[in-house]
Amino acid sequence: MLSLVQNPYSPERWSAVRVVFQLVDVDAAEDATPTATSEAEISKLEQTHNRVVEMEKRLATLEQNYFLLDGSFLLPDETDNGEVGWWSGEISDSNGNFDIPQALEFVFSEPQSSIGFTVIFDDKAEEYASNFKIEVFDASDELLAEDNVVGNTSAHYISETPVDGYRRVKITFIKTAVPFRRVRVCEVIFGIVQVFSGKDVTQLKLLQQVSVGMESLPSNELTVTLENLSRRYNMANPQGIYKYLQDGQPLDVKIGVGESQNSIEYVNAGRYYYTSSKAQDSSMTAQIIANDWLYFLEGKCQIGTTGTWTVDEAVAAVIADSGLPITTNIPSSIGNRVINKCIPQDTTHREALRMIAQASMSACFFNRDDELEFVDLALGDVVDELGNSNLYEPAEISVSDPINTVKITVRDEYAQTETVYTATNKKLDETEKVKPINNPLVANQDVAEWLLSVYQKRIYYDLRERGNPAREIADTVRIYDVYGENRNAIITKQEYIYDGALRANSEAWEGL
Amino acid sequence: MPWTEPIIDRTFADVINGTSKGYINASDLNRIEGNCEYLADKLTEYGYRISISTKTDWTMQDFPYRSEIDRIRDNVNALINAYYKMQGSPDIRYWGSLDWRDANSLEQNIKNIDILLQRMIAGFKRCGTFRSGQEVVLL
Repeated sequence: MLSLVQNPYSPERWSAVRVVFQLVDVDAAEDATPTATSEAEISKLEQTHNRVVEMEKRLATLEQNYFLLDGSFLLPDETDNGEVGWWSGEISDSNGNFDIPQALEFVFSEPQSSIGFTVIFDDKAEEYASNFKIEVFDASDELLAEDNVVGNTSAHYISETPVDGYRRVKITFIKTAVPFRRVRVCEVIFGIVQVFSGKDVTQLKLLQQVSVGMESLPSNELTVTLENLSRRYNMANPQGIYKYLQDGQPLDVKIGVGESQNSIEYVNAGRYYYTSSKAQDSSMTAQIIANDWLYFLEGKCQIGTTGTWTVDEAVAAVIADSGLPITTNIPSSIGNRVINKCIPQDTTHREALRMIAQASMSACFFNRDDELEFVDLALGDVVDELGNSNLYEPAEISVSDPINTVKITVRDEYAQTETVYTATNKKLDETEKVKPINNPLVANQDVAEWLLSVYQKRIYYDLRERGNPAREIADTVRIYDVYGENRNAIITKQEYIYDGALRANSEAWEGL
Repeated sequence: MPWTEPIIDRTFADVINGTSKGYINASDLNRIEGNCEYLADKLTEYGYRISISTKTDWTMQDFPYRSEIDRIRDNVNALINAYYKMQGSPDIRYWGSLDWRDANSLEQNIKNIDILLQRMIAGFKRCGTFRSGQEVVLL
């Protein structure tokens, strides 16, 4: 369960989503030296190029008619306010104009190249400059490119101005969108950062899941449908935003909830990698689909051999063989478990990871931090409760078919051996109901006993609910059902659906 | 400092509709601080021991640091402790923000202290208007 200060189930709830993707010249950010015309007390000029693209807090100030008394503005600290970026010392006049235009400038020791520039203003307070100018110069101070912005209406501005070999970037702020405001720049990105938010997103679906018993390894999937009345997302336009969307382009998702529109608190909902897009509804909308790394792990794994190794070693080897930059989160209690090495030839990397998880009596999935996480899928402390107040319908309960015997066939094709592990709790008067499993990586009888115990837990819940963005896969929840059983269960699937309001379809398993 | 009538009737609707009462501006802090200073001066004049620190020149260039807003909260509590808390006066909440209820609470306490002070002053008997042993009616 992630941290969330706001009540996720407040009676009157506001919700929002944000999907962000970036194509950035990292070297330019590291080489940049910033200067500014003026600076407010709380300003941190050096934070304007530290690759943190969001203000940390909505800070209270005394700019005219700014500090709304809804409790969402945090009183600033005199020394540390987290990520604030640059705040001009000067405040605009009653028309939003500055007597002396405020400038933010970056110089570089080496020539830099970018496909554009993104200026991120105060996204928390939605305060931004409406009129400003971006100028890019080379080493001899010759103007290479210029973007005169008039009437900006967003806290994120993308200047699609590809420039090579620049040594200085100057942004001159002429007017703020609202009178009596400082300019606040959280970050200047030497590249493109696109943000899809409530204004653009007509629907967002986010599917996260884990398989009980690791019979499969499903990929988490993001589907974003964007409003496209203005044909902004024209897939055939080589100058449009689609030119930046390529296979594997990361998209970061946040889902926010709050008791009022101004107090929406965003929760990290994970990173997904672009897989496809299509126009819909006569191009009135555009749909983007992205998945976690599992979707891309379809290459053949050729590292199998006879012998044993630990889960840590096995996962590291499979990931290295895949060539993908995947990070893991494996507790040592799982990482040190011993499994077989004999991954069959031509098994996909994804299937190899599934076998590893099953053979180590664990479950794996991509978590919100984009890590391949291994967990023991067991009941823990209750982090959320689902009842009448947050379920649209009473929890639907189903019971899976009874199993009394698990038979695991372990075939090592390198040593040409076959072992069978069987676990059973069949009573004398019962018919044998066998669950056959094939997994060459299983190294001992314990796995058969574990799978048998998993299949004895047969109660599953289907939940239509309001959705708590802070709740994660494998979290334990208490479910209030019509039978008054009110059991604890483990979340195994969450499909968040945002279409102006947030809801979720979830599944839970009674757990071990 | 002269007394300025406190604002005690902010509502959630002011916040939602973005009326002037839905915001805290420099002028609001100057009024609150000025009234604290006024009450401290009056209480001192009438023999109460009170010492507070105020800032009455807030501008939109200033930042309402947590330490400054806590100082204002402390000031109002110091006035209450030095004098009297009218029954029903709201408690003052210390936290990292300020909402319309908090702003009302601060100014309601300030107003209540002034009301009590005015009643006390109205009850003063002038020298020479009564003598020892005289029967008086206390209202």
